[in-house]
Order: sequence, then C-alpha cells, then structure tokens
Amino acid sequence: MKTNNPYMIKKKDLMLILAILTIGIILLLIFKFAFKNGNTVTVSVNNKVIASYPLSEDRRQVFYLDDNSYNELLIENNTVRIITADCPDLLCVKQYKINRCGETIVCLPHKLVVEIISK
Amino acid sequence: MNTKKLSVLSMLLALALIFGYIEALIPIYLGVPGAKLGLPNAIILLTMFFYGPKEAFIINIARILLTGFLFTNMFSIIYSLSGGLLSICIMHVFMKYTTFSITAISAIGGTVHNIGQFLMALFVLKTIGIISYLPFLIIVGCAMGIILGVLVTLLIPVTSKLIKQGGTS
Repeated sequence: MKTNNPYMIKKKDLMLILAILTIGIILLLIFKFAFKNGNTVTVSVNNKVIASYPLSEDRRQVFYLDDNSYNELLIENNTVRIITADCPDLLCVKQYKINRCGETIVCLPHKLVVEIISK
Repeated sequence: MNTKKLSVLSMLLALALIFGYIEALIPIYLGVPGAKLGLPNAIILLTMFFYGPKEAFIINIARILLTGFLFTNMFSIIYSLSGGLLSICIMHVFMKYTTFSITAISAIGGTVHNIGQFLMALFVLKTIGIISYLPFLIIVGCAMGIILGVLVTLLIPVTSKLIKQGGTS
C-alpha cells in the first residue's frame, strides 16, 4: 500500500471530514435564512396545478385522484403536511411539515406535489 | 477469474444484500423519496480495497438490482444506482491518487453517494424545492461514511486472510 498506512486516521483525514461538514453547515445556514416564508400552498398532480390555498387559513382537504386513491392535506399554524394517504410507502405522510417558499412534499406513487409559493 | 475469487465475490454480494435489507428496514426521510442511508457502501469499500473499482461496480450494480426487486421500489433502484456509481468513481480516484485513510475515503464516498441521489432526484422530480435537503444529505452522508469507514478499517485485518486465501487473481 505504498508508503502510507490506510488504516490510521491522520490529520489530513480530519481536515477533509471537517471541510465536508463545514460545507454542509454553511449550506444549512444559507438555506435557513435565505428562503422566505411563503403564503400559498399549491397542489399539483402530474405537474398540473389542481388546487391552491392560502397558508394562513387552517384547512383539511382530501384529494381524490383518478383511480380513487387519495392524499389528505392539512394546513394549520401556517404550515402544511399530508396526514393520510393510501399510497404503498406513505413517505409523503412521514415527511415533515413545510412552510418555506420552494419547499415541497412529494407523493411519488400518486405523482402529487405539494409546494409552497409566494403570491 | 478463478472459482475462488468468484466465491469470495459472491459472498461479498450476499453480505451487501443483507446490509441493503437492514438499510431498507430503517425509515429515514431525507427529502428525496427513496433515498437510503448507504449501509452497503461498507461492503463496496471493502471490495474496492481488496480487488478494485471494476469488481466494486459489478457487486454494487448486482446488489442494487437485487435489493430493489426484493425489498424496495423502482425509484430506490434509480437513486441507489446514481449515488453508488458516482460514489465508486470518486472513491477510486481518491484511493488511487491520494493518501487519505479508509475512513476519510468512506466519508467522501458517503457524501458523494447522497449528492448523486440528490442530483438524480432533481432530474426525476424536476422541482428545485428539494434543494433545502441538500445540507442534511451532505452531513448525514459524511457521518454515515465516517461510521462505515471506521467499521471497514476494523474489518480489513480480520477479513484479509480469508479473502487472500480466496484468491485475488
């Protein structure tokens, strides 16, 4: 293995790891402060917007898709999330609530995208 | 390729499958539906250390397809493929031309794996909204890489005799 020992963690390794983590943290801070809070929620299926609601009004809405499958949306406290659905993986339900411009919740099996925009 | 090498590689593939199964059991949502932690990268790294990038590619593609059809879905396959192949490329470059330790290379590999998944998600979903998850993907990828890197560093002395006996020609 040449003259270096690939097992021992040396200073350059720690520097590299620190560099990666620093980039990650810097990006985190940029995204946290650069994106404003949006005021409108749009729901799109197959890239076509089918509904749009203001974020400020609490609302509970079920969206039925062509083949009778559904996603249920909950808007409260100026955030939005999907609370129930009948897609096989339920990843959209497990997703955290969103409130910032550009943030999205995606239900891949239903091709449904919930997005926050600013009107 | 002799039979001994074939059997060692098959064993590594089976190990990668098991790691992939455990990975599929852990529900972690990083904004990209279908994104995974990257546990089998430990086995891929091991393969790269003992054999090389070619064998690592083969094992990675094989286990991604098998894991995808057995435990997860089509999107996981696409994301894992893009993440894993990019990761192997970058890891090989670092392994061959620099003198970083296994742990650091694994950290790089883990980060690149997640960045690869993110880029593929950008391509598939066509929305820029998921970019807010990029910092988490980088940090978690790096952390997972470090953990797996330490694991592989500890595993190499233990397994080297077994693998060398299997033949590396």
